This record gives sequence, structure tokens and C-alpha cells, in this order.
Amino acid sequence: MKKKSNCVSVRFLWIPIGMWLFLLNGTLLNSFAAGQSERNVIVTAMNQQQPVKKVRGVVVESSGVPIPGATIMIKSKMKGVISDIDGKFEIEVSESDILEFSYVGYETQSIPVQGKTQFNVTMQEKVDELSEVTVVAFAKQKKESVLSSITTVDTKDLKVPSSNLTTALAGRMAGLISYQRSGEPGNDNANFFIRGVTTFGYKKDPLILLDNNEVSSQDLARMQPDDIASFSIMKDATATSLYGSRGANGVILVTTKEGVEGRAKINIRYENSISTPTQRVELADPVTYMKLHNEAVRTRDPLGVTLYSRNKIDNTIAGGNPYVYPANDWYKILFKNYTNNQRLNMNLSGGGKVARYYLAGTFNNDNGVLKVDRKNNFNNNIDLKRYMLRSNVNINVTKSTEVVVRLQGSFDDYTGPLHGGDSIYSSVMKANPVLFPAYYAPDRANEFTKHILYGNYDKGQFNNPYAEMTKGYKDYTASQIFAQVELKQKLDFITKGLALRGMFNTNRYSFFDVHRYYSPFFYKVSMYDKKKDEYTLDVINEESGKEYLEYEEKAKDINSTTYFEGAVNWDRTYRERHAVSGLLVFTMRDQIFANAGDLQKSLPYRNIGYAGRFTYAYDSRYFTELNFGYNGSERFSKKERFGFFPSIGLGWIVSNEGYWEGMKKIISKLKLKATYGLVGNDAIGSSDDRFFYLSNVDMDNEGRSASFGTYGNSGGRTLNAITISRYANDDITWETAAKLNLGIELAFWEKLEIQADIFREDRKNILMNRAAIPSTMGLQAGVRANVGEAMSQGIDVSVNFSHYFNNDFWITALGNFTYATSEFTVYEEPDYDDMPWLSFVGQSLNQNWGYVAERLFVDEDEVRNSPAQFGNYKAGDIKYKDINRDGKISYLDKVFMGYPMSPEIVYGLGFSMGFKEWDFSCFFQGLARESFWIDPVKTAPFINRQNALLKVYADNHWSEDKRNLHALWPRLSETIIENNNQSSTWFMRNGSFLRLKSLEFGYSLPRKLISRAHITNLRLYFSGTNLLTFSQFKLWDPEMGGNGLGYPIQKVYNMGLQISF
Amino acid sequence: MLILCSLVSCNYLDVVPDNVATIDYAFRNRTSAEKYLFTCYSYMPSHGSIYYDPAMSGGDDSWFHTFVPWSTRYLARGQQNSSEPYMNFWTNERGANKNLWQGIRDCNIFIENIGKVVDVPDYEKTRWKAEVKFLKAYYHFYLFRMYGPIPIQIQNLSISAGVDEVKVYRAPVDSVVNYITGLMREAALELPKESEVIQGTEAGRMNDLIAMSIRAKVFVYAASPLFNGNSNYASLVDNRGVQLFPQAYDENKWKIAAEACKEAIDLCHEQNKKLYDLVDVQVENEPEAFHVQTTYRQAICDRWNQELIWGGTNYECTDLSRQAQAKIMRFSAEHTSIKSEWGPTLKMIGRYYSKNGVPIDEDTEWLNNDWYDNRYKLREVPSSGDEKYYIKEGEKTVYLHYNREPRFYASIGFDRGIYFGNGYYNFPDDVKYTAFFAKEHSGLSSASEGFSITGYNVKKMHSFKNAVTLDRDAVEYYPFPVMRLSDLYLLYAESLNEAYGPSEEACFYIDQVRKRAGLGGVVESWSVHSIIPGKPTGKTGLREIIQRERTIELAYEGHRFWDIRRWKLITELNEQPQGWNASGENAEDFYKITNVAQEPVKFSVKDYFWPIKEYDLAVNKNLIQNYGW
Repeated sequence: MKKKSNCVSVRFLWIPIGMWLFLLNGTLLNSFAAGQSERNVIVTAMNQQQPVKKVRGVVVESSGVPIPGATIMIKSKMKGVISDIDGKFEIEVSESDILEFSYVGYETQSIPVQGKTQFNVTMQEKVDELSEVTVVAFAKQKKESVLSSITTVDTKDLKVPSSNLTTALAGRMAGLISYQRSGEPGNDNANFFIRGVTTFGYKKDPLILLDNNEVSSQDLARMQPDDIASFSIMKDATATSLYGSRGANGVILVTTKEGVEGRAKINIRYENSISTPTQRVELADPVTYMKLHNEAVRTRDPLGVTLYSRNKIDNTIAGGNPYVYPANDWYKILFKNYTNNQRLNMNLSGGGKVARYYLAGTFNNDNGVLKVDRKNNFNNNIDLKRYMLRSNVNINVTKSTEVVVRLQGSFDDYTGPLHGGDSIYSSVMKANPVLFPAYYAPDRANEFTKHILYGNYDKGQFNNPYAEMTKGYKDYTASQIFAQVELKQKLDFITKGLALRGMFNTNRYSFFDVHRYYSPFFYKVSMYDKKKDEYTLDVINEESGKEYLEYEEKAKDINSTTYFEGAVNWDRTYRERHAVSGLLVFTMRDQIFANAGDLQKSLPYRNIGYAGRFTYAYDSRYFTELNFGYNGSERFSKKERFGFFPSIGLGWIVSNEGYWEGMKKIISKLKLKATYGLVGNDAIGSSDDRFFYLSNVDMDNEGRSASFGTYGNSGGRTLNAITISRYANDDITWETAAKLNLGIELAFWEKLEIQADIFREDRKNILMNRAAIPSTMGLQAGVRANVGEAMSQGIDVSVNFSHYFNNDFWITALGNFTYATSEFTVYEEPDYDDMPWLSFVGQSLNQNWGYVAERLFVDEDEVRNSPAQFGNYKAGDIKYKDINRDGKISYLDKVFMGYPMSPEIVYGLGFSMGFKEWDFSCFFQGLARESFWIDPVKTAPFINRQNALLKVYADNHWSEDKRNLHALWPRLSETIIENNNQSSTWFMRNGSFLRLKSLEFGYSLPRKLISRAHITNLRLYFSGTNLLTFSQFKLWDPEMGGNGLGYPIQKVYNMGLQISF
Repeated sequence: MLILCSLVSCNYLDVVPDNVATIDYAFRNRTSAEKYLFTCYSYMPSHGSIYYDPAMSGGDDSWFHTFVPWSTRYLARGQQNSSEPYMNFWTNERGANKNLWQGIRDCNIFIENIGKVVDVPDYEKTRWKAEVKFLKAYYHFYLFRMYGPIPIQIQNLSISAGVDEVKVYRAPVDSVVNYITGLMREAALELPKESEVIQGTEAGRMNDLIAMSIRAKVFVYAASPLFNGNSNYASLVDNRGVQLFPQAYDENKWKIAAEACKEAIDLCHEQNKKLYDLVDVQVENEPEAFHVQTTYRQAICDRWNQELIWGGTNYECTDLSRQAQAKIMRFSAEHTSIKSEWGPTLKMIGRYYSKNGVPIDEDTEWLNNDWYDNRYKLREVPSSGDEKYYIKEGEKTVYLHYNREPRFYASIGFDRGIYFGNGYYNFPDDVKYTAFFAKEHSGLSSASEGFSITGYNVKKMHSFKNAVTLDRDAVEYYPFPVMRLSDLYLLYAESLNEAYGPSEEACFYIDQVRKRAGLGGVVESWSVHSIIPGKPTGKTGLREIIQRERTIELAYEGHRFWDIRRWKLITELNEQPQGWNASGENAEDFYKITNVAQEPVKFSVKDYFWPIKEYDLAVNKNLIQNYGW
């Protein structure tokens, strides 16, 4: 009940303010931020006419909660009343009057009296302006006039049970290629590329702008979908050329929510989820491991020393003392089956004519699936806590001046394993399951030993993953602060439609990392009395073991970015038919890094840009647009410093033509558009390259030195060397992309919308090493030039369908499809005219190359009589194809193989439906035309006498008894067989899959029930992600690609609660 | 506002302050110029590194168990390839740790610019420049020895040089040799004497002895069968029609080599160089048997001694020492820093002379007593006689280990052999011995990696003053002998024999080396002890003797690897490397001759030289690939 009174008092607060404002500046106080044309509220009564009758009514919001203080006016009569605390009113009207209902933040409604005596009015909230305009570079444009290829995603679709926004992107937007390789909290960012990759420089990913401010993908990952007003990706030239310097790889533009006029609204979303790996990698059982390890030694070297005696194997089978005859399932020892995560997001928004506010706070807690030893009092499991605070405030200083202040702070606190969760997973692959247990139960001598008696073998050089995991932990803290102030000034007094805007932004980021760990004591069994079943232990490393913690400071990353943007905007329609607009923008950006590592990198990174747009539209039918970016980057020499990037767009809305009227019922929209232009990229070479026009000399390279004197380098005179890591070249200049986009937008019956784009991009001036420079030149760094060229093309399509059968039953469906393929068109390489298969030209940018594996060798005769391969190999090792038939397998026999390593096709489809209080949605996502490789080195069993054995290898390998020439794994070995770990088609796998990405089932409590508590909405929901996967590949989650032995992608079962007041 | 913005931004992008270091700064003052000098030195290959010097572990004289992953081992197994060559010093890949073409370029930069430095006096500039000239010549030589004819980089090509200009050609053998030897001579004339190099801080820097000795060696290479009239390489003709290998054998090249060796030897003598003959104080009071041994060992490990011509300082010999040092006590097996993985092969054990200074298969005493036939059979150490100084009393070992020359006992750690020194100097009370059976203190222990696969270790290449106690080890530093006087003596003897046939002078120099090793002269030893008494009087016989003398005297110092190739004896590498059975736990199991290579090793003519990486050939089509690759 207390809540109720609070709520009401907030509501009443607005009445006096509204009135006061009105009195102050009657008709002129239009809220231009909200952008609606609002008819003004008149409260005072004048020229009263004779009342004809008295009517009653109640004003409620859509949820049924009464609105006190709503204004009820008789149109054109300057007379009105205000609703009371229960939303009720009474007014005297005549039959011909029209009543007008208004309230801040709600659409005004007019209802003719026409005999009614009771008015039950449901006020509709003002529709978000975003649904009518599209966010484009530096501005907003009316949807119909947008010629660029821009995809906007409904932020509702980004609400997945994950603390990482990037994991929600795959398959949601046409034009975005996205996939996730790891499921480790804090390290699970998905990779995403707009329309694929068209460069082979270091910067391949898109520019990400948060409220026009460039941020990292990590910052994007932290964003809460609840706080996002719009999320769009910009794909073609007209959309991105204004961002000249950084736009070539596409742009992701995110704007955050602002307060909307109206009462204070509170939204709370709380989720608790259980996450578990989508799939576990299966290892061979310990007995098989021992047998096959012995086989691996003997099959290569009949005299080889085997590690497991008959006795040991037999006792392990018989289930002897587990400390003496260990049989570890390391996965079980190290990992839990599932973990629990929580997420909480709260926001508060509202405002009036003078000021609007949006405040949000987020708390996410993500845990890993690692176990913690009870003997340690620290937590070595992953525990990532993320806090975020946001405050967006808009203030109307005068009727034509608006100031916006946006503040955001996000803070990560992390505790977790020393080298991250991935390393724990990969350490399982580097562990022997049978040589020693994770730890020993104390023997008699160690009854009072305080430390954990970790197991190890021989001299303690073996990897005990349990010791690695539990011996310590790391802490890190990351803080990111954005502060932004924006000033908007209308300049209608100069000429109508003119406005000025300035924005200043600063980002501060700081990160630090501390490791704490002890050096574990390792033990081995020295004697075992089988009769008594008693063993005695020997400490292996008495000297190096430590019971106390050591401490190590790690990298500290601090950087600061400042950004300024100034723009003049002009927008006007002449004679209702000629819509003209113009925009000029100036931007400057400066970023500096502490701990940069060398002098040149410590200097600020800077860009400035001038950009402009001019649009003209005739009668909402014909559209043209001209854009340019003129950008400067500090990386280039003075003569190459600025690049000019123009673009042009043309559009035609066929359905607005007069003759289309008849068709409009069926094809409600038909729009054709074409754009072409240039976009630049200054992030070329590598991120270490600062000033291409300067050489980079290390005058004191500690990595290289010479020493002399009596004791040489054990105490003589030593001087470090002078080395060069870059030669000066003042001709190096911008990488440019020429983008062509042809698009069509179609709508049928106003229910089904289809957008399709065909695109082609030609990237020129890609920085490359000159291939013609032979090693004999003795250069310490490559000589480079802007010579590379690449091309990409493809199509992206999105389909949306929505249908409301009635108020209780609705359905929406969406689907999208992206296909982007790329190829090298010009690539510096040796002259391969005689060996065309070696040439990169014509190959996809992400294509892997290697040898064509034919099968395994049949016998030693075949080995002898086949072209020479690599290192030592025998029957049962991989036989490669001699492409150039020169009698040996060498680099000249490499070919490009499979699909690219990044998918060419990403698609998604899903639907949502609602029936009364129930809602249900599901979403499938998939990708195709991707190849990945099983890593033959990481998965090689028995290496160093300790690498794990995958079950599939145990079941399916070549052996002398079973000479399967197409076995999954070649002849076993205890050492890396160079011949078999060549990059080849043998370990190539198809990466395509389709998965049930998300499923959600929700129930909203009936309004009647909750309105008493002044709750406007209360929804409970259950959701899940990655619930089902369909793929040919069974070893691990196919989305992880070659990283399958890392921290697995998670399957999540989630329960959530959404509540709004 | 835009105008305002443009005003602000005028210099906005000029973020680079003045004084950002460029290469010009290297020659502005003495300090940085000296650094550049050291930079030129920093490309010096790691002579003596068991990982980075192919001659140390890439040959047939020693073998390592399969756990060692070094690139050099692939060379030893005959597994070189042309797509990703091992120890590729041409491009600094696959085990190579120095980029020699870059080194040559830096040397050229130094030579071009050192004149600009203001605060270095002229005499010092001259010295520095001469040092760098030598380095430049030596780096060419290092590549020449590996790849055969190579492009000569007399001057640097400009970075902006045209595509055709940078496609250099390999120069023919004779041009390369002339260039290298000429430059070395030029350097020698300006280099300081050894005594002028301040030992405390400069030892290891170039002097005229080094330059002249290495120059002599280059001439010897040019005269050797691999480079002199080698018909195997007749097909190496580049696209201009230039033949890279001279096809006519030229005996005169041996004369030039002999002359150069003599010149170098005379210079050495002039500067008081002589074979090391000191008896260390630590041994003085010990039995005589240890004197010769330690003197021979100290010729290598006594720092900056009278015999050493060029001591390498860019590589620390402690790693080498740790690979060489045997584990001499049970508990020292737990010292993981003592590796003991460097295992001499049985072939090398057989190469050492008998105590009479002749090969064991020629020694009449060995043959008459059936010691040779029984060489792999066990024999107990007799209680009388000198054997107890070499083999642990009361133990058994094979005949092969008895009655060998002192250098055998000085160089090789073998099963049951006395291991003098390492903290234990009082014979017989606490002097240790080695025991190589599996699970014994020097042998293979369960899964451990630190053991010798052949059952021997290289005693010679660590100081006997190393301290190895129950739980500690301290390894003595010494500069690696890249060139020492006995090497030069033997090169001279070889050149003389090849140029003029057997001569007293040739034998004199061989005998000098033998004398220090405690052996009689060549002619005398053969005539008294050998079944082929006239061997030293024939050219072929003496050649064999000289080759064997080099193999023994310079064993494990990184010479045999190159000598085998220079002498065109690569087929010798096809004898399968052998050792004892390291996993044998008793004498019966241990003393089984075992092939230690997992796969048969295979060498052929192509292995005389490194292949040039195929990619480099594709980049520069003017280079031709070496024969067979």
C-alpha cells in the first residue's frame, strides 16, 4: 500500500509543473525532443455555453491503472476539467461537443460526445519516435527516405539469458556474420562482421558506436538490451561513408534510451539461470588409455620404453586402491555439471517538459563450472560480477535549446583461475589419467600435513590439472566510464529547419590484474603394501613447494578517449513536395594508452573528419542522397593524411506513385534503392604500426645483445642491439572500399515485410608486404605498400511478418539470411604462373590451405615408393597428394581447401506468439559454408607421456592389427609425428549447423490482479538457449570450430521475472 | 563553428614530437655507435649451442633420445626438406636463431656510417670497422658452408630498389671464396693483436689471429673435394649460364690453403700462442694418469688460455656443460638441471686410438690379445696396473673401454668409468664413477628425460671443476673454442699433405697435437704398433690419419659435422648410429649393441648442402636450388 501512495504522489507532482510551464509559455512550449505535434492543453474556462448534459468517465492507461490529473477539454471551447485520483471526471457538455483527453507522455485522444454519457478512456502511451525514423550517421532520417542499407533489430530480440549482448546477435540481423567460439564467462564474446570480411589488414570488425561514441566490442558485450533504444547495423556506402576513416568494415550503431515525458516508470528484470556445457568432449577410459599408450610406443619403436606394466593395468581393471592405481576422469574431477548465474536490471524513467531522465542499474553475476577444493579458502572458480550504472538526462534549457547529459559506468570484478577457464579445459587434454591421482589421502606420515598432497610422477614434471586449477586464483577489475554532454540548438530564427548540435564525450578505461598462488607440493607413492592396502608417500619437490601464497602483478591497461562532434543540420520541405536536407559534421577523436610499450605507441591516436550529407526527395517518390567524408589520420604522412570518401544514393518508392493505388491493398510498399560510394579505413597494417612515414627503431633491444670479456655473457660487458621494426614510407595511405548496394523493400498487406539487398564491395589499397623482396636483402621488417585488393559480394534478406488476430491473439515471425563471400583480387605473392594452385588470387579471404590427404599409408612398401613427405612416417600415417608431381610433398603441393574458416552463410528464423496472458517464442539460428580443423597437435594423445586420448580416437585409429586406411586418427605415437600434423584435408570438418538458439515461454499476470499493487506489468518467463544443435560434427559444439577443447559454449535454462510500475 | 573547428585542427594530427629515434641516431655519438658495433656482433651464430649450432647435435658423433625436439636432430636423422628447411639460417627459421642476411646488412650500414660519428677517435673507428668487416666476411662464410655458392652482398641494396635489382644471383664458389678471404685479410691488417684486446671487457672481440686463422680455414674449404672440382654439382648453372661450382680440380688451391695456414700459425706463434700444456694445480698431486687427461680438457675449459684463438662469447656454455656432464651420484639424478642427454655414438668410441696411438683395429697388441675381437665382451678390472685410474676397481666393463688413449678417458664418460673432478679430487678415496645401467645413477630412470640414449656422455665438454654434490650443481663458464691452435695445426698438415704429399713438416704438426695428448709421433707409432706400418708415408694413408686425428682431437667441438661434408664422406653418415641398450638394468641387457635411431637414417648427395627454401626460390627466380632438392 505504501507503494501505491508513492506512485500517486509522483503522478500529482507533474500536474503543477505542467500547469506552471503552460502558464509560462503557453502555446510555444513544444517538446521538440519528443517530436510530436501536440495540441495544447487549455485549462481555463471562458465563454461558457449552456450545458446540455453532464457526462462521467474514467481515464486509465492501457494496463487499466487510472490516470489522475489527465486533462479533459471540450474542443474549441476553452473549457475543461482534470481527472481525480481515481482517474474519474465529470463534465458538462453539449451533444455536438468533442472531448479531448490528454496527459503528458500519452497520445491525445478526441472523442465526440454523440449521445454518450459514460467515457471509459484508455490512454495510449506515445509511440516511440524511433518507430518512424531510422537512425543514420549523425542524424535521424524518416524511414521512407532512407536509401542506405541499414538493419535495425528489435531490442526485444536481444534479450537473451546471457550477460553478453554479442551472443544474441547471430542470425538476428540480415547482413551480420556472427559466431561464438567460447563459453567462458568474461571471455565469451561472439565474433561479428558486417557482410563478412573484405580486408586482410588487422581491423576486420565493424566500428561500434554507442551514442555516437566509438567503443570496443567488449563494451558492446556489456550493454543491457533493456537500456538500448535502437540497435542498427550500417552496411553500405551511403550509410557509412560519413564515418570515412573507420566505416569500411561497416558500423554498428547503438543508442541508449532517453526519458519520455510522463510519470515515473520503473522496470525491473531479474533472471536466474542454470548453465551447462552444450556438449562434453569424451575421453577414452583409463584402461584403454594405458593399453593404447603402450601400443603407441611399441608401434613406432619396438624397443621403446612403455610406461604401464601388465600388473598396473590388471590392478586398475580390478579396481585396486585408487591412489595407487589411479583412473582419473579429469573432467569430473575439475568441473561441475552446471552453474548458476543471476542478472538484475532496473531502470527508472520519466520526465516533464523541462527535463526527462532515464536511470538504469544492472548487476550480473556469472559463475564458471570449475570445482573448488575445500582445503583452500579462496575461490578459484570463475566469478564475474558486472555492475553498470547509466544516467541519461535531457534538459530543455530554452524552447529551442536542449542539453543532454549521458553518464555510464560499468565495472567488472573478477575472480577466477590463474590463466582463465579455457586453460583449465585445455589442461585436461594435457593430463595423464593414470600416472597419479589428483591428490592423495594422507598416509601415516602426512596425517598432520596442512597442504594438499597433490599427485605427480617421476620428477614432478607432469601436469596435474587439479593442482594447476586449485593452486591459486586471479583477480581483475575493469572500470569503464563514459561521460557525454550534448547541446542541441534550433536555429529556426535564421532559417526554418536549421539546427546546430555539439557533443563532447570522454571514455576512461582502467584494468588491472593480480595473481596469487602457491607452489603445490607433489607426492608419489614410494611403497605400497598390498595386503594391508597401505601406502607411503614421497614428496617430490620438497624444496620448491610452498604452503604460502605468492603474488604477481600483471598487465595494467589504462586508456582514455576523448571525442568531439559538431554538426549543422538543415531540414525543410518546400511546397509540400520538395524535401531537402543538409548536414555538415566535424569530428575529432583522440585516444591515449598508458603502458603503451614503446614511444611511438604512447603518442595519441587521432582522427579528424569532416562529413556531409545532402538529400532531396520529390513528393515522397523520388529520392537522392549525396554524402561525403573527408577524414584525416595521424598515421599517414602529411601528403597522404586526408582521404575523401563520397557516396551517392538513389531511391524510388513505386508504391507512392498515383497509379499504384489499386495495388496498394496487396503490395502496400515497394521501394527500390541503389547506393554506391567509397569508404575508408586507416586501421591498416597492424595495431602496432603507428606512423608509416617514420621508421621505428629500438635503440636498446634487450632481446638481442652481444657480450665480451673474461666471463663473456656470464658477467662481461654486454650491450643491447639496435633494431628496426619498421622502415619509413611516406607513400602509405588509406585503404578504401567501393561499395555498391541494390535494395528492394516490399510489404504485403501491411503484414509481411521483405527487405533484400545485393551488394558488392571492392576493397583497394590494402597494405601488404612486398613479396618481391628476397631474404637476401637482409631487411628486418617488410617493405610495404598499398597494393592488395579484395572483393566481396553477397545478399542479405530479412522477412518480417506480424498479425494480430484480435486483442488476445497475435503472432509475429521473422527470418533473415546473409550470404557473403569474398576473394583476393590482387595479392602480392611470388610469380605462380606455373603453379596456379598456390596463388591466393581468386581464393576466399579466410580460406585455409594445406595438403590434400588421400588416405593412410597401407604398408612400408607404399611409404618407400611414394613421394617423400615430412619427417619420420610409417604405414598408417597420412599420405598426401603430390599435386605438382615432382616426387616429393612440399610447400608447392599446398592447395586451398574447404570453405572459409569464417562462415559465408548465417541465418536465423523464429516466431513469437501471444494468447491472452501467455506468450511463446522460439528462434532457430544456423550457419553454413564454414570449415574448421581439428587440431592434430592439441588432440594428439600421449604426447610428453601425458596428453589425453579422445574416445573417438581410441575407437577409430589405424593399428597394426586393424589397418583401417580411413581411420579418424593415424598410427598412434607418443611423440608428435610431423607428417601427420601438417595442415591438410584430413582433419578438415564442416562447420555448418542449425540450432535452437532460444526458446521462451512467458506468462503475464492479469492486470486486474496486479493493478491493485500499482504494478503495470508482471511477467514470469522461462527461457533457454542453445537447447538443441543439429550438425554432422559430433565431437564438440560445432560453433566452437577449432577451439573445441576450450571452455564449452553453454546451454542455459533460465527463469526470469519482469515487473514494471 | 566549422571554421573554428578547422582552426583547432590545423596541427591536431601532428602528434609526433621531434627527436623520435630513427636509424640516424645510431651514429650520432659513441655510445650508440658502439651499440651498433655490438649489434653487428649480435648476429654471431651460437657456436657450441647444442640447440642452435647444427654441428653440435646434428651429426653422427652423438645421439639424443626421442624426447628432444630440437631442429638439429632432424638434420642428424637425414630429414632435411626443402619446403620448410630445418636450421634455415637463410631466413632465420626452424631452429635457426640468427638472421645472417640481416647481419650482413647491418654490417654494411655500420661500415657506411661509422665515419659520421664525431666522438670516436680515428684509430678506434678503424678497429671497429675492421671488426665489422670480419663479421661480414664470416657471416658470408657461415652461409657458404651451409648453402654453397651464395649471393655476395658487398653493398646494401636500397629499400626502394627495383624488383629486378633485388633478384640477386648466387655467385660462383671461387668468387665467394675470393671475396670472403679478401675481406678477412683486409680486416686482419687493421685488427688489433690479441694482446691489445683488453681481456676483462673485450675478450671475444676480433683480433688479427682470428681473422687470419678463419681465413686459412676458408681456403681449406675451397680446396677441399666438396668445393674443388666437385662433379656432383656440375648441373648447378644459373639462368645466366654461370656455373657455380668449378669443375676442374685445382691442386694449387691446397697450396694457397697451406700458405694461409702457415701465415696464421706464424702469426699465432709470434703472439705466443702454443698448445695448452699446463697441469692444473688441482691435479698436481694426483696420479700422473690424470695429468694428461686434465691438460687436454683444460685446453678447452681453461678460460682464455694460450691455445685458444677464438673464444665464442655470444653463447653461454653452461647449457652445453649441463648436457655434457654425467650424473655421478644416485641423488644427483634428481638434478633436473644436469641433463646428460648428449650421448656419443659407438662409432665415435671406436674412433679413439689405442693407448699406443693407433686405431684399435690396426694395433698389433689389440689384435694379438684378441682385445679387438672381444671388444664388446665384458672384462673385470684387474687389481694391478693402471686400469684403476680409468675404470672403477672391482667392476666389469667391455674390452673396448680398456687400453685406450688418454683423450678417450678425457673425452668420454662410459659405464664404470672413473669420473675425475666435479668436486671430488682425491683418488681413489672419493672420486666418483659413472654407472649407466637403467635405474643406476647415470642411466635411464623411469620416465625421466635426462639420460643418454647411447650409454655414454661427453666428459670433454664440461670443466672438471664443475661442482656436483648431492643436491647442488655449479657449472663453470668457459668461452666456446670456435678456433684453437690444434685445429689450425691439423688444417695445415692436411693442406700440406694434399698439396705436396706426406712430409716431415706435415707430420711435425700432427705430432705436436699427439704429443700433448700423450701419444707418440705418427711415423713412430705406426711403424711400431700398427699392422700397416707404412701408412703415414703414403698420401692416402696420411690423409686418413689426419682425418682421424681431427675427428678425435676436435671431437664434440662442432668440426666433424662440417669436415665429413668437406671431405665428401657423407655416406659415412649412413652407418646407423649405435649405442648400448639404455633400458638394460644389468650388464647382460645393457651391453647389447642397439640402433639408437628410431628409423634408419638416410643420407645422399643432396645432403651436402642445405636446400634453399622453396618459397625463397619462388620470390627470387634468379636463385637456383641446390642439387637434389
